[in-house]
Amino acid sequence: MTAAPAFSAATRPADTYEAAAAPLPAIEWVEVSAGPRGGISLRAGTTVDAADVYLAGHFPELTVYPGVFTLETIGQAVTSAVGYCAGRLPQLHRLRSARFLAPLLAGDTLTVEASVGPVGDDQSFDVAARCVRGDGVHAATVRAVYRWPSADGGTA
Amino acid sequence: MRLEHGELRTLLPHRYPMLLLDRVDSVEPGVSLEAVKAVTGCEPCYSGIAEGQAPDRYAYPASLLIESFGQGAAVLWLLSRGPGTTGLPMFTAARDCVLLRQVYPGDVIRHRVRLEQVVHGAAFAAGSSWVGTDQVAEFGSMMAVVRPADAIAERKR
Repeated sequence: MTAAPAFSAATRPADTYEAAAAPLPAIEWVEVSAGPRGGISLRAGTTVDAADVYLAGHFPELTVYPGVFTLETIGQAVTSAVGYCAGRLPQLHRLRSARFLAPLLAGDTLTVEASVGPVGDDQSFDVAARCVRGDGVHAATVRAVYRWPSADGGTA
Repeated sequence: MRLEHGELRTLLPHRYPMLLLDRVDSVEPGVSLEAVKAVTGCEPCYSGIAEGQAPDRYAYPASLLIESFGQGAAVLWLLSRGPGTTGLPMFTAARDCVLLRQVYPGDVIRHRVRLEQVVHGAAFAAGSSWVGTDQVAEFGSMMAVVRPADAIAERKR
């Protein structure tokens, strides 16, 4: 039996965006610290930019950062924080629960605080994230499982 | 009943490149719907990827796959609402959604959406997404509300 993979050093947010298909660069910064039992804690943030190409269509009359882009921000923060395993990026496997509590509009900042891991033998790890808007309002809570996919591309 | 792309634009406020449905092949208003989304390498989500990345990096983003399914749910719900109910559909919660397989440019996703419940102005939908005979995602529960744009923007005034 091989040991569960460990988290590696963080990569820059810009590198995370360029490493795979993504609707937008969804994090401006990320900070990583050691968490309990080999897991990590991360903080990451972004600012809602009305000039973003996808946000132009969500919506033309009013820019609203979609809930799925909050998931994108969390995903890019996780990728940036935990790094690669055998050259593969971690992928969202299971969204246990997500609640989007307050809208994020153009100019709003979003800060993600998440506990990540530890990594299981099946290369999966839990992410529990709390998202806060710039004015201190609790914007979202997300609990999810990420994993590094197997070589055949499946995440099941 | 089948809805072409132009009809989806009259139902949904989303626009390019965030209108993530191409067509609705069948719908029983208030009950279920089957919608189609063709993934192409022309979509802006492929514009920022660095040259020379491995094939798996071209997987369609999970965020956009979930949004696409959610838009199918929104169409199903909006078709069953009465006239005069305008506003922006907002994705407010999800539970037990599983991504089973990656989707790549060239794949045609079929969303099978069921409207489970509408309570106090909030709709709950569930279903699955398929590429050919492969299930790519299972959606246990997705919840949305419709809010007037003015009410959403109130804080910024």
